[in-house]
Amino acid sequence: MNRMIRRYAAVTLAALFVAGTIGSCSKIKPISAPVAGGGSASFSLYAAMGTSIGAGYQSGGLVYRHQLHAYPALFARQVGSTFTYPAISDSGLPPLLRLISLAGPVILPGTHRGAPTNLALPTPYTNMSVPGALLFDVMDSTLYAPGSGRDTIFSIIARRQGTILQQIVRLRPTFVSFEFGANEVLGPATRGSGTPLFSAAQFAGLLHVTLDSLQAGLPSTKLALFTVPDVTTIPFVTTIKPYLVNPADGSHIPLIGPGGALTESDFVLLTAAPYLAAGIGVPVAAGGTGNPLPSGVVLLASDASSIRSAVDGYNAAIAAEAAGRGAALVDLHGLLITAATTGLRIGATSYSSAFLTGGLFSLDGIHPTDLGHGIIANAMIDAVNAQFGASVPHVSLSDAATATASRLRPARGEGDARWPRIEGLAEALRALYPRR
Amino acid sequence: MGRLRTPLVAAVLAAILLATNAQAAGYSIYEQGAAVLGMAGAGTASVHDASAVYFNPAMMTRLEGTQVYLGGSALQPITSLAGEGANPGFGASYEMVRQTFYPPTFYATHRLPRGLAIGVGLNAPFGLGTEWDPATFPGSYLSTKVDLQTLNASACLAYALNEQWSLAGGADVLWAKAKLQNRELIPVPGGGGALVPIADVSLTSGWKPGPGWNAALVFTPNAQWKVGAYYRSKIVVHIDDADVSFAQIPTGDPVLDALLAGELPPAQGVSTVLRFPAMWSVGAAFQPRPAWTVETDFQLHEWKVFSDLPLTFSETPAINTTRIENYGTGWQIRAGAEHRLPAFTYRFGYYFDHSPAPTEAVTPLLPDADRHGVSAGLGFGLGKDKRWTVDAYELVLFAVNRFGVAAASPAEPVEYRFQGKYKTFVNIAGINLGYRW
Repeated sequence: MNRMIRRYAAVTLAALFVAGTIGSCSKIKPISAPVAGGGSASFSLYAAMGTSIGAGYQSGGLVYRHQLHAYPALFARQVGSTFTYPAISDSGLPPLLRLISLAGPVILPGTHRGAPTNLALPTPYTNMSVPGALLFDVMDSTLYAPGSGRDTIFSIIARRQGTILQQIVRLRPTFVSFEFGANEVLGPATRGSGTPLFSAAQFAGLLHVTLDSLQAGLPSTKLALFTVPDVTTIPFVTTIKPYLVNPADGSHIPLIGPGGALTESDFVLLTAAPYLAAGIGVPVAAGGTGNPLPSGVVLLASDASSIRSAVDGYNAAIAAEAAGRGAALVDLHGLLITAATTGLRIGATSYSSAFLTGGLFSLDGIHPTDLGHGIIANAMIDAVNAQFGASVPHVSLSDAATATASRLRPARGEGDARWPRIEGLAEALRALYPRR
Repeated sequence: MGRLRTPLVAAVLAAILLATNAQAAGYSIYEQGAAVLGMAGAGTASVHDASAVYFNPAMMTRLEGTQVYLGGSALQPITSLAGEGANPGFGASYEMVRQTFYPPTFYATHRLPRGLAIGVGLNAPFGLGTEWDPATFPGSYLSTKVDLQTLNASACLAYALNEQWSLAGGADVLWAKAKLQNRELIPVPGGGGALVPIADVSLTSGWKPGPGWNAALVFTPNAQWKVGAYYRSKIVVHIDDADVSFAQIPTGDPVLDALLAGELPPAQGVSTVLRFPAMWSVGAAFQPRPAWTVETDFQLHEWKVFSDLPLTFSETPAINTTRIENYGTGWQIRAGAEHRLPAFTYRFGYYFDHSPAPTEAVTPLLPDADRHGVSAGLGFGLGKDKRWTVDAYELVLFAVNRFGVAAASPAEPVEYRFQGKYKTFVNIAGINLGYRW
């Protein structure tokens, strides 16, 4: 009997050992992302209010494949919330810019105009971020109207079903992200103006009223407020230097602005590229026409300073509102400063604000790439987790990053080695920021 | 003498040609003798073959005549990684390229008059081999291949003070060579942040020596008990002749390729320092019956010496790096038994190996983890007076699944470091052939 027991014990042990060994030989199973915990917040329905950044606007247009990579889409995915958005078919609206050649580089507008594909959705979109939207537009639909210059984009997203605020309240979301303020400074800056659309005091007052109204309609909804980025750090502003480098001795030859020679603290906007290619703004001695660049493509140092002051004022107001309302504060401003100064390290790669090569900005030099949205989503997740004791997992950046925000083609010998050739960018900006 | 020369030459050649790599705690390889490994490596007090040169040189005074012990092991690690966090992300797993390593062993001992004994050995006590498919592994910027090889030559002298006490001391020279490979990647220009590989970076060194020493003792209070201990010093190898190359990978865009061709660093020299830890071991062996021996060992490996891995480039100092490792102290408990029957001997054992690697050093280069090892072995005596011995063992090593975070640079935000859980299993088998004159 004892011998039988010993034999069975030996066989059982051997079987366990073999099973354990075979099991250990197998590849480790993938680990699923942990389920997001809301802490004191609830993510059962998340909605986004914001600008072109939140809309997923990239490379001068809206298109579904980038809209689905916008930070609100990523956050909704992480928390398991329904996400609806005003999908635009290929090749975007306006058609997205395309990188034709790195020689130059050459960037041309797309040729096929996309169209909305789900205008009939019976409910408001959970992503109510509107390219070009101002804080003013949240509660006032005056400028959505035909003839305002922005009616196309508002007719696609707001669909004349009420203001952004009204539609968000109708959704009854439990969590809302609120990202406004960039266009109040970006619009002027991209036209070479240092005068923000609202002073810091005006912005603060309007923000307070807007958030009061939002919370009156959604009293138990938790909020995440985004700070406003310093638009003078984006590649649209920083890529073209205000000088040429003398190949003979490395000295700097100032370009010519509307008021004469530019200083090294002035900025030449990306929209200046066609002028420079025509010799405008380039001194005669350097092979140019000697004619000055138009004021709309130059942001003088004093104007940039004025823009930065406004951004600081806006952000002080946003931080105060976040603190006063118990909202999470997402430091988009700090994120872009890091990208523009030290770079943002992910793995061995330092992503930066460099145009085309930095990995964070799309071909318009203003809006984030898909990876940029992944990083913004993670910044939002960090802020939300910290504020509400939530446990939302980070977005996988390798999943967020895409290889082809644009088409990367082999060079065809196009372009001028001196200046980028970018066509369609000014037109895209005019659609986004019509003069008021 | 002629009969001795042939196996000796063969053993030396085999040791040199097969010196190779594998992985144990940190990057040590304890698979240095089949009989002792049959007892899960518990042999500090009871080793009774020429592998005493490694496991306890003082035991050489208890070996008769002249003995040689030649063999090796085959180690087959299976490692995989399940990604987590933002980099590389949840939901995918990756398997390391499967390889088999063959660390060799050769030992010879000789009893001299007046209680003296001498011994020499050639073995590969350290090594590391990891390889990830660069085309599919998201951590290719950290590592695609590591190949650390060592070859250690030992010479020991032992002295029996009396029938109870023996002491030993010896010198070691450890030759090491290393190969490290990874990939350089950049964001696709004009893309959405995805990376494109632009260069395979390969660092290759020649063999470089480093000195060390060892000391050991054995105490036999009575016929049933033996207590043994050894110390093997740390060894530092300065690699100053390595070469690094940056082989450009075409991206498909000739403009980009032309730009990058001028940006990649030139092939150049690189220097580094390889550090191998000091090792302490103490063991007690007990013979409850004449045919049985049971032993338990406790070992400390001073892995704190593996604090970093500096790489200093001769022409491009801007890319100098120091990979921080900050290993702690590793320890092991080994227990084994041997039952000597008239026809054969069988052995079995178990050991637990506590990893010295902090979470931040658990990386694709070296995904270290706590391990449980279970062994079984057989031994046969052959020929006249059983002068020939054949020992074989099988050891299965189950590493505890281990979370690790790898940074390419200290400037990298913690949340964007490469993280995930590693699973490792190692199947090891070995054989040694002994002969006694």
